[in-house]
Amino acid sequence: MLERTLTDPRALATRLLDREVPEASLCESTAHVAAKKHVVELGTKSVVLFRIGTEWLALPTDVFQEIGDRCTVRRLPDQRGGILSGLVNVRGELLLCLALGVILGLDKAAEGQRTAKSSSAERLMICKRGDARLAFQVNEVHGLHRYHPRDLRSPPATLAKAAVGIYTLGVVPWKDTIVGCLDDELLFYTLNKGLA
Amino acid sequence: MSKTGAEDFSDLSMLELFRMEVETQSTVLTEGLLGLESDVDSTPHLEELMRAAHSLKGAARIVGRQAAVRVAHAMEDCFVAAQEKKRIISGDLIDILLAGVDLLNRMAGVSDDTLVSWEAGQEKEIEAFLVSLSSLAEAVGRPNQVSVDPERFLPEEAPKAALQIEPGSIPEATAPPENTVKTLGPDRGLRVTADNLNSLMGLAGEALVASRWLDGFAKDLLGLKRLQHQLGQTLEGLRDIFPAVVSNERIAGQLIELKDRAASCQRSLADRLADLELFDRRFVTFSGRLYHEVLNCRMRPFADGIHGFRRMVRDVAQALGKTVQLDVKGEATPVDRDILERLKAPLGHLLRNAIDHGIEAPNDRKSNGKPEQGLVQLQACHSAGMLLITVADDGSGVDLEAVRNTVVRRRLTTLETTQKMTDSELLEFLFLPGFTMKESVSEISGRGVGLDVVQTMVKELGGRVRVSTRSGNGTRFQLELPLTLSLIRTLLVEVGGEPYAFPLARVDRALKLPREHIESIQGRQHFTLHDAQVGLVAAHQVMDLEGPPPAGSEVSIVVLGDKTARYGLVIDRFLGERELVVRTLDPRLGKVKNISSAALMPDGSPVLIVDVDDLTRSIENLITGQRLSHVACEPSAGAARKQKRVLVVDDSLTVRELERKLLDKGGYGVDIAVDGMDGWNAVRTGHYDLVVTDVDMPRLDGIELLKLIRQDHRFKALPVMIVSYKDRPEDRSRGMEAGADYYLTKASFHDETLLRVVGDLIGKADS
Repeated sequence: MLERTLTDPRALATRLLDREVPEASLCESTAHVAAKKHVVELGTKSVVLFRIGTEWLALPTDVFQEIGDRCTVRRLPDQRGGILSGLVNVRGELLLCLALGVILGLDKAAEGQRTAKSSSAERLMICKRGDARLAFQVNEVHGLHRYHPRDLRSPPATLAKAAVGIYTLGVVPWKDTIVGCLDDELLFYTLNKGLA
Repeated sequence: MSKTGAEDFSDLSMLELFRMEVETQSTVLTEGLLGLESDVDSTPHLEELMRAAHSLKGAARIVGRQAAVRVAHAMEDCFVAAQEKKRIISGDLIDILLAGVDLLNRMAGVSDDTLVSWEAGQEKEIEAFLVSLSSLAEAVGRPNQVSVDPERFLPEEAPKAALQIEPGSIPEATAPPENTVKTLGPDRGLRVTADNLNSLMGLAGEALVASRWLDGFAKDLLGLKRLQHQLGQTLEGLRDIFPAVVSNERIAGQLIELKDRAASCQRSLADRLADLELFDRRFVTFSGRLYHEVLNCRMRPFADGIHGFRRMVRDVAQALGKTVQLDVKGEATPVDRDILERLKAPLGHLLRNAIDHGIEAPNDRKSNGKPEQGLVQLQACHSAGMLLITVADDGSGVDLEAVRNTVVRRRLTTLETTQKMTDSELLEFLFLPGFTMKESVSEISGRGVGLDVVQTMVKELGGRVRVSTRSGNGTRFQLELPLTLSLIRTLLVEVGGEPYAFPLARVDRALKLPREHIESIQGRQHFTLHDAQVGLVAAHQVMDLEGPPPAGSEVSIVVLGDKTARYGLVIDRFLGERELVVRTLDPRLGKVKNISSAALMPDGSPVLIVDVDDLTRSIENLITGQRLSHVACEPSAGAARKQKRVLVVDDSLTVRELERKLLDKGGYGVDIAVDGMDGWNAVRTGHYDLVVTDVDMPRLDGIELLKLIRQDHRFKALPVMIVSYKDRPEDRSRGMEAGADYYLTKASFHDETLLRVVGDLIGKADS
């Protein structure tokens, strides 16, 4: 309770500032100051993580326009060697949907395995690089992730030999697995060439 | 402005209605007056002008605007006098009348409150207008001697004039006339890019699709409501089964509460459902209207596409010493802007033809008992979902005998054949490229390039041309065109589990046939349709789809083609008829076999639209066995894989192509890349035995490319050859240090050297 004599604001302020610091608050602040600082490093790269089959892969965030729900893919008679899955409707616009798994030479069987759960996780990624706007169907999208280029390791020998290795700049650790960071320049080069 | 008729006017005050009327009629007046200035024949314009002025007079009287009545009345008198040939409306008088139109507009803009003071202030101007109108009327025949300053009536003066009269009034009072003047004028168009319009159309289509989804959702909820109702009934049943329990006060109380809650749930659900239905209806209507409005944005009145034709007809006729009147009908007919744009050239051709070939010289016409002035009619109308454009003249008609002679003389066919031909078959020859009936080539027509251009253009637009003629009574060309290029009626069918759309215009017929009606000759199936044999082909096979062909006692058949070649395409089943909005396929795909474009189904999934011409060709190829040779090609493609492959990287097209040709001739498989980066992409994705690269290139130069290749363990052993103009020793050593296997200067660049070096590096092409 405040005493009547202490209605003077300055006295009140002094009293407030001079009060004992509660033990809990002190502990909390100590812990906060003592904690190792989380430094936001310069030069990190932002990527979107997604999964095709059993592989986790990443593409630079700036090539993404949006990520939508899975939708009907209308097969075209000409599949351009399998890389073209067909047409998809994205907000009333017809886009070409490409089979990223086929281009990357990922195990088709693994890609095909679908459970009820995994089916609901399937997403359509709409990417744009230069003038090329394309859609990809993937089994799952995790979201954004940042890594520093110095953490980029060369892909394991098994991966390097496969087609996916060609398009992989390197791998970065994520959770208890590794993510293959794709070379968007090379990937879109191949896609545009493959479509023509 | 003709649209306003469809709107609801019940909320508008009389004054607002009057303003709208002034807006509409002043457009008519302005156009009519401008028409008077440019057209020789004033009768229809005067008629229109008189009516417009008369309507305005009536409208002004209803709202009690005496000044407007006077102005409109004076204008009407003037037009009536002109109709009775008592006056000639031209030059200065037109200026004054236009100023009168502006005056009327400003009068309409004044609000009732300020009317009295406004009119008082404008009295002078109104008087001046009336005086100048009548003074010019007296001055018929010598209009130049009367000096009237039309500037006085120009709209720019309006705000100023209003301010002078009411110096102390609030600015709002003068605002309406200004606004009205600003929003008037015939051209209220906005420039919208085609891309904008297309994405707008995409979104509007999507909204339409989304709106239809709601209906299904509402039906699902209805099911929920039923379940809820059953729940209530079950509760009732529970009460009946245990009357003893109900006597227990606590349980009875709980049961009543439960019942109440179930009932209120039921009510709430019903209310929400009703709301949803209301919303659904509104949304469906709204999105449907939005969609059609966007589609309408693509439409322009036919009149917009024929500007200049009147003038052209006049000039051409004059040049030929004929008098010809162009009669245009259906100017308001909406036409897709793309079609309208592309119609200009063919219509110009047809009109020129009509005047030159159709209309006879005035003397000939007189002796044939026709009026001296020839008549060319240009008409546009909608009929049975098609746009019909007719160009007809009242000339001598096509001399069929002369056509026959020309055909024979040009050895297009024999005399006997032409004699067996019907008139319309003979007339078809007129559309042949280079076919002309004119002896001499004139500036106007006769080169024989007109009609085939017309036909090509019309075919490209998915339409056709019909020509008919009556000797001595003229010729008539009729263009049958789709209303819009973006909307087509289609027959939806299912093949291999996927929907496909056939343009209805291209489908001869669709039918279901009992399997036993299919006959087979030499392993080929066909059936009889109107005494003609129609070959049957499975759509699966033509379209390269997997899956078994349809089974069942009946087969569904789409008949395509024309009289010369008809094919029955066996499909899985018919899905129905639907209007689709055509979307072009991604241009990167180039031409997709058998497919022309795509569209969206009501559920939002894409559907492919079949290219019937292409499909017919595919069927012909299939039947004549070209597919077999196609299949036989496969092994050689496999052999090609063993061929040694060279990547040529050079930013100069000439050098690139030269190298490509040399290597190609040497038997190597060659790929090209336009710069270092392109080359690096290609190296990583292709399998090459050799890279031949230039040094100076944009983005990534040859040395950098070489370094990248050498750094990558996968390509350490890939031979790289540099071809450069730089022949100094230091350039050479720079290349060799970077890891090149050979450095060839372009100065010593001739086929033997290049091929010899390539042979040294990777061996002969066939080894």
